[in-house]
Formats: sequence, structure tokens, C-alpha cells
Amino acid sequence: MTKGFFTDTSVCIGCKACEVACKQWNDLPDDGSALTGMSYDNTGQLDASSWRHVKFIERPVAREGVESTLGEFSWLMMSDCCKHCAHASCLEACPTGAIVRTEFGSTFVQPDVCNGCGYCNAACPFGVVDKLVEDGRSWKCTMCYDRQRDGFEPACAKSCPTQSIQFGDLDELRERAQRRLDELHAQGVGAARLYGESEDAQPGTGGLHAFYLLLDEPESYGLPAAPMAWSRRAADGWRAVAASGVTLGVAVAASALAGRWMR
Amino acid sequence: MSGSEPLDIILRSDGRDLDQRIADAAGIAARQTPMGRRPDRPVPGAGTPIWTGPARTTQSPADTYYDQPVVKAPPWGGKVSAYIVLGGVAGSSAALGAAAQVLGGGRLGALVRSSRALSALTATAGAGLLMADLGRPDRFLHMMRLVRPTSVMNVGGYCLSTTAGASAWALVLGGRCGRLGRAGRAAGVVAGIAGIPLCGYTGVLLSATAMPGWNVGTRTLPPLFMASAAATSASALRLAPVAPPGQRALAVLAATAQAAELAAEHAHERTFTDRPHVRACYQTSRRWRAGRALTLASLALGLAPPTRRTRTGRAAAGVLGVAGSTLTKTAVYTAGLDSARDPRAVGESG
Repeated sequence: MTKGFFTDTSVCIGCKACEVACKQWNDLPDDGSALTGMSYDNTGQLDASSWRHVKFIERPVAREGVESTLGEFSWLMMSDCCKHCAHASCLEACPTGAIVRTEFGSTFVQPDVCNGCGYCNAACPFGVVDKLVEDGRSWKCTMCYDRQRDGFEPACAKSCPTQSIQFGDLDELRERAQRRLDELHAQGVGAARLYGESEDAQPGTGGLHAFYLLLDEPESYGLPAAPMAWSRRAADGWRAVAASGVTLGVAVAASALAGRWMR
Repeated sequence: MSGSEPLDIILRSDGRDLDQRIADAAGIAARQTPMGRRPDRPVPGAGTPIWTGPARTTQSPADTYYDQPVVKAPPWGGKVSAYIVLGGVAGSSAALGAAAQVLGGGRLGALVRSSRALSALTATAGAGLLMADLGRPDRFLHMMRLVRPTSVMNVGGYCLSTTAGASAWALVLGGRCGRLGRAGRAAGVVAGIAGIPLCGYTGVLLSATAMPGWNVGTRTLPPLFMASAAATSASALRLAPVAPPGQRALAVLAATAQAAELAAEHAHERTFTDRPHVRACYQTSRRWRAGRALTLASLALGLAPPTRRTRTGRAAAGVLGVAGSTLTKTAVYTAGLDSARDPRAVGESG
């Protein structure tokens, strides 16, 4: 059964319980302390030691459909994680077969196979997979594969106090997301939109197993508007290599003959 | 363990209560544990200056998230950049060696030997650089667990291994008589065949990533890298002791490859004329401009009648050619890494 996350950012309160639960459950290394100046986001990015990342956007506009005393100001908050793409560029690019598709439909980096080449880091359209300097291997969200094996939901979804992070069967989540979107549109939140909910909506990735309901353009959240599985570009590249290879073969043969026939 | 037993809760020294049936205290996430921070290394972020400026606010809709990168640059440094140059030289010199061996009619013996030597040397050095980048030699073998056509790096690993091995055997055995010599010459042909994809796959490798500076070149980077590889090895071999027929072959190949390289550079530039943020990564690159200038100079020296006949002229053309093509390739490499930092360039990619 394909499982997934539906992250409804309209109810995220930015408590970072998901980040803490993820870090604790997965025993992830310390990131130190820094203040970035990016609102309350002092995590900065998804990386080898941060598999959940809550983003905070302070906007000089009021939020649609919400009574507020803040005036021309509103927050957007979003808990980001690995999207577990249906067409996973990292998985296809991995030269060792370390990245696999699990029985839950998630993508998983097997640490005993990963050789730390870092190609998945470059292949990911969302900048999620990251090589840990200390042990030279790449790491990312496992969608709590160990917890799922034992019948538990992932730590982040378990800890989310507002059900912003919802875990379940992907098909059911998609229906739920559509209902929530209709509800928000009815409330006058015209900017609400789903991100990566299906292959039709996001053909480049084949749809995300961790998809989102956003309240602004994806770029505001640091998400690419049209992400794609870059690994699939390789077919075009190989065709170019074949064409250039024939040319190169002719060129070296002609050069050799030019040398042989020199008087 | 039966279900009726009480939960075996252990209070760990770090204060966490863990049920041993759910969590393995030695390593939790699916029995995996990223290695902890090493005490001798600074904690990342600890050295980051605390932001003391005004709070960073955004427009609505904002086109970026606080100008933060959207994609991650691969964690590769100069070793991989050097490998991309050396692997190309290994592949194209193996192809040249095989062509000279089969079609040279016995007049290109010195060129065959020099090509094999250059190929074996650069392929071995390139493989060494890759192993150094992975940290441990045995990690290179993880790539040999399986054949994976979707992974450019996996396919490239086989091209490199084949060329490196075959070139070395061709170098050692190619000059012998009898059965060993035939085996060596067969190895030379194998190296030449595997060498052609070897000098082009790095173009596919880079263009099939999320880096905007690379993925605009799905169709232009492979020809650029292959032409650059052929130009580099032809230029490098001009410095080797090669008899006049071989020099003629090298002059023809160098001129053809350099002209192709300049044309491919132009084609690559056309992919980002309408992508200002990607274009900026190349336009600010001094290497990109210097590479083209040196390649042009080498081409002119190699073709001009007064210089092409003298040993010094050929040597100068060779040195300039190696430098020009190498700079061009490394410029593409760094432009791609730079483009990863620009979230607006990501919006232009594709």
C-alpha cells in the first residue's frame, strides 16, 4: 500500500515539533546554533542532519479569509521534507542501487550500500539528499521506514499538534487534500493550491508521495515551480553522445589516415 | 518476544525513554545511525555569524525563499573536476590509439604507443581521484554491484574501468610478438571503443542533474565535452616524441577537435541566451573566456604555416591547446556549481 504525507500548510503553526521528533527518533546529529535572520527559521535547509525543516515566510500582505489584527502582514509556515517522488531522480541516478523504493512507496537510502558519490544530491530537484561530511554517505528522510514496518506513523506526523502533517494511504490523502482545497476556496482563500498531488499536476516528478497545500506561489516557499526527474534527461544526453561518438570515431580515423598517407 | 511482556523501557543516559522492541538503541532510524559529530570538527553553523541586520522580509508573491538555494550542488571539489578532464583525455587518446593502430599501416607506431601510455596514465589517475573523492577505495566497488542503465555514473564507471584496464594491457603487451601481442592489440581496440563513451558520458552526467548551469546543456554538453577531450589529448600528444606521420595525424585531429569545441561552446551559449541567471554564471567566469581564447590561439598556431612546421610552434600549440580545453571544461563545471546557489536560475532551468 502506497503511503504518503499530505502537509496542509494552512494549519501549520510553526511549532517545529516535527523537526524535534524527527531529529530525536532518527538520532540525527547536532547542527549547532545559529540565527539566520530568516524569521523563525534557524534550521536553514533540509540536509543530512535535518530531515524536516519548518519554513517561515513573513509577508507584507494580509492573509486571505482570516480575520486578523496584524493589518498588512501575515505568516506562512510550512514543514518541508523529502517529497518521495514517484519518478525519483535520486533513485534513478544512484550508481550503487543504495536508494530503493520501499514497500510503502517511499524512497530509502540504504546506508550500508551508499558509497557517498553524492550524485543523488545533484539529481534531486528539491535539494533534499545531502552527504554528511563526517561519514561520507548521503542521508535523507526515510518516511520513518522503521516505524512504518512496526505499524506506526512517522514521528513528524505523530507529533504534529494541528494535523498539518497528515500520514496515510496516498489515495485517501489525495481525496482529503482536494476536500480541504475546496473548503479553503469556499472560505475565500483563492491563493490556496495543491503542490505535487498527482502525476497530472506535476508530470516532471510523476507526483509526490509527500505533497502540499500551499497558500502562495511555490517559489515563495523555496520550491521549484516545475520540478522534474533530471535523471530522465540522460536518454537525450546519451543520444547526443552516440551522435558525437560517431563523429569522433570518423575524426580519429581520418586523422590516422592523414598520417599514414603523408608523403 | 511475546506481546504480553511489559514494554522494555530503558532510560538512556541522554534521558530518552526507548522501547527496545521499537527502537534499536544502537541505531534507531531503520537500524541506521548517521555518525555523530566528531569532536575535532566544528559543529556546522557554530561558526555562522549571528544575523544582526534587520529581519529579512519578503514580497508577496516572493520569487525565492530568502534567496536560499533550491537545489544542492554535488559535494564534489577539485578532484572530480580534474577527473572530468582526465577521463576525457583517457577516452579520446584510447580512441586515437586504436584508430592509429588499425588504420596507421605501421607508420604510426610511436603515436600508438604514446596514445596508449597517455590513456593508461590518465585513466588510472582519474580512477584514483574518484576513489579519493569517495574516501575509501572499496567504495568504488559498490558501483560494480549491479548494472544500472538509468544511472549515468554507473554506466560511466564501467566505461572507465574498461578503458583503464584495456589501455594498460595494450600498453604492456601491444608491442610484443605472438599471442600476447595480439591480445595487447585487441585490448587497444577494446579501450578505443569504450573510450568514446568515456569521453562523452561526463557531459550526460552533469546535464542530467538539477544544476541549471548544466541541465540547459542536455544536447550541447556531450558534444562539447567530447570535442574538448579530443582536443586536449591531441594537444598533449603533440608534446610527445612522435614521428612526422604521427604529428600530421595529431595536427589534423587537434584542428578538427578545436573547431568542433569552439562550435559546441557557441551552441552551449545559445541554450542560455534567454536565461539571464544561468547566463550570468558563465559570463562572470574568466575561465570560460580564457579557455576559448587559448583554444583559438592554439588552433591558429597549429594551422599557420610558419609555426606548424617547427617543433617549438607545435609545442606551443600543444601547451595552449591543453590549457584552453581544460579551462573550458572546468569553467562549465564551476558555472554549474555556481548556478546551484541561485534560486532564480533554477526557475529558468529545463
